[in-house]
Amino acid sequence: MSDALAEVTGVTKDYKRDKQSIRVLEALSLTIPRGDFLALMGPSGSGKTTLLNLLAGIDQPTSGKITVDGKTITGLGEGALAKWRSRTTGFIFQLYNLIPVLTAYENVELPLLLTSLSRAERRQHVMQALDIVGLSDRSKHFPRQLSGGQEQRVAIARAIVVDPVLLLADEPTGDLDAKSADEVLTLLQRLNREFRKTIVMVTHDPKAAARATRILHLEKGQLVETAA
Amino acid sequence: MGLILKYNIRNLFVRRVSTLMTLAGVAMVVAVFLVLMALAQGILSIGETTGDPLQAIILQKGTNAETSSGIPDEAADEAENVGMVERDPNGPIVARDLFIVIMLPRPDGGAPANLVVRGVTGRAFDIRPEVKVDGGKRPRGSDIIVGRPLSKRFAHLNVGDKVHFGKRDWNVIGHFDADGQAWESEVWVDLPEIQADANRKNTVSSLFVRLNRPEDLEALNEQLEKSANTKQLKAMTVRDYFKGQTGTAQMLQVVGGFITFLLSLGAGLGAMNTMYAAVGNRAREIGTLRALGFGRFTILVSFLFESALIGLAGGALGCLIALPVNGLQTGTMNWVSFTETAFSFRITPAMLGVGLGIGGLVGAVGGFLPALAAARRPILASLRAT
Ligand SMILES: Nc1ncnc2c1ncn2[C@@H]1O[C@H](COP(=O)(O)OP(=O)(O)OP(=O)(O)O)[C@@H](O)[C@H]1O
Ligand SMILES: [Mg+2]
Repeated sequence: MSDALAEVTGVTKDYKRDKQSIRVLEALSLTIPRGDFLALMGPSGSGKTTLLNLLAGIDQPTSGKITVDGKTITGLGEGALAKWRSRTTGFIFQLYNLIPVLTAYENVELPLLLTSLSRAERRQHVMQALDIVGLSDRSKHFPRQLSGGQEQRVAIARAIVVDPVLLLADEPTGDLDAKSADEVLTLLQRLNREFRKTIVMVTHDPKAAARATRILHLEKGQLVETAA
Repeated sequence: MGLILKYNIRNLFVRRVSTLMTLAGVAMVVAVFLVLMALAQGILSIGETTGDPLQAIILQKGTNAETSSGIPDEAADEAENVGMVERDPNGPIVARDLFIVIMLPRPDGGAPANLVVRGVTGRAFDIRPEVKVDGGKRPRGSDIIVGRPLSKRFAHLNVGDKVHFGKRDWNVIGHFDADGQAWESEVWVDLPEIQADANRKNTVSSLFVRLNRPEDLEALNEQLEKSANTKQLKAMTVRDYFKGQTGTAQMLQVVGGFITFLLSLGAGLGAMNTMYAAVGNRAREIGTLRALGFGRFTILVSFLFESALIGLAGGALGCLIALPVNGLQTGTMNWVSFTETAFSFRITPAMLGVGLGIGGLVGAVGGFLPALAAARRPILASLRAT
């Protein structure tokens, strides 16, 4: 198996709006090595979220090819792509996106419903994920009973519970105070170092980006590399 | 998928008010449906419970009602002996009845209405063991007995009352029950007395018999056909006879079905409205679930289920609302004899099942388009929603 976990080759992405087509990404190529913690920066509207969504398989490029963990996901059917997502990637949203009516435990359990694990096995995985993010004691709490930082950590537990090879985070600290942001970044760093998770994180915050092993700048649909 | 179930149920509690309003709409539909059907069922059950499968009624040919049937004594004497009917030591059990329609005022002084007076002999009680008179009394001379439900719907029919009809006053000496059968809506009078009073001597309206076997009906009719005296008569089962009298019920069922359908449209639109709002409010949730790997179909089923659940709960509430009418006494016009028939609203378990089903269906159908919209929305569009 090659060293690269994800390979983006000549990807162009156009969005149609009001019959007008706008090019967000242009012939973009990118290799993400296994074990990388990549920070993606760039001005607003430069296409960071778009690139992340493409890597996550929740959007498809207009042209070009994306391969993750040896599997080419461009051109996959919707069902196959959904199945692939549920096993390969974990997505962390800026606004956590926890389901309000489900407890922390149940939120983390959600992705496991798409596997064939038994209830007991699911329990084991959920508790392990909550333990990693340091919230075992909050499993019965609903999102509204948690702080923003705690919510995001539950969301991270949900993202890692199926043990995906690739974690994608879109401004995971964008809505957090400095202390909570620091905790979340420390957690991501630990996932990268200790659990060997490959992470791509979009951020506007240079301090957050500094926690990554590599920083890429996206500008007008093109990538510019900077040393971390 | 217990978790998805929890997800839908808890969301119903989150938007309590709209859930309750939708639920109330469905409950109303189901309640109206059940009350109308209970009415129809009550009327139908008169026909279904009156007589037993072996009981037959002999009427004059060319009529389907006792009101317009006349059987002269010679014909009745001969018909009594054609065989094929149940006997006891006193001979064949044949009840000769004279059917008269009279008019009496309502207890509250309202407009008078028609009711049935049946002239009977002792045989009427032999063939209808279900008729149980208080104290075992029998009509004799000017003493008459009255079906208990009927006594509440007309004036002067309480025990001890004097009531005037025909050419004289009669004394009510007792009330009787008949297991909900049609007789309960009748006044029973001694046959010779009413024949004299109504100037219908030597004639009756109908003969009631019990066949030995169901197949004997045909044989009985063939036998009647053979003699000049009985040629003018025909026999049919009592069940069939009364089924022919409950046309009101069929009409009620059709009209009730139609009303339910119209109301369902309203309740369905209510459910649709609620679910559209729910789907809109939860767009980001839906996008998240999709991003996690849940398919469109799961989303569709989940929202359909949520809507059906409101419907089912509404259906259950509707059943609870309608249930108290079960057993309630009322009266209906018999459109053949234009007389009043007393009966009770009847709600059967099957009707409750249908009521629940209607509730669930209204919910599911109303929720279908919103659920489809939720399932069809692109992931990114859902995720971007605020
Ligand atoms: N679904 C869409 N339909 C139309 N245009 C879109 C869509 N998604 C993104 N765009 C446009 O594509 C461009 C890039 O958007 P994207 O969200 O990737 O930017 P971003 O770098 O993540 O910005 P931000 O830092 O503000 O989050 C923007 O001009 C945006 O308006
Ligand atoms: Mg963005």
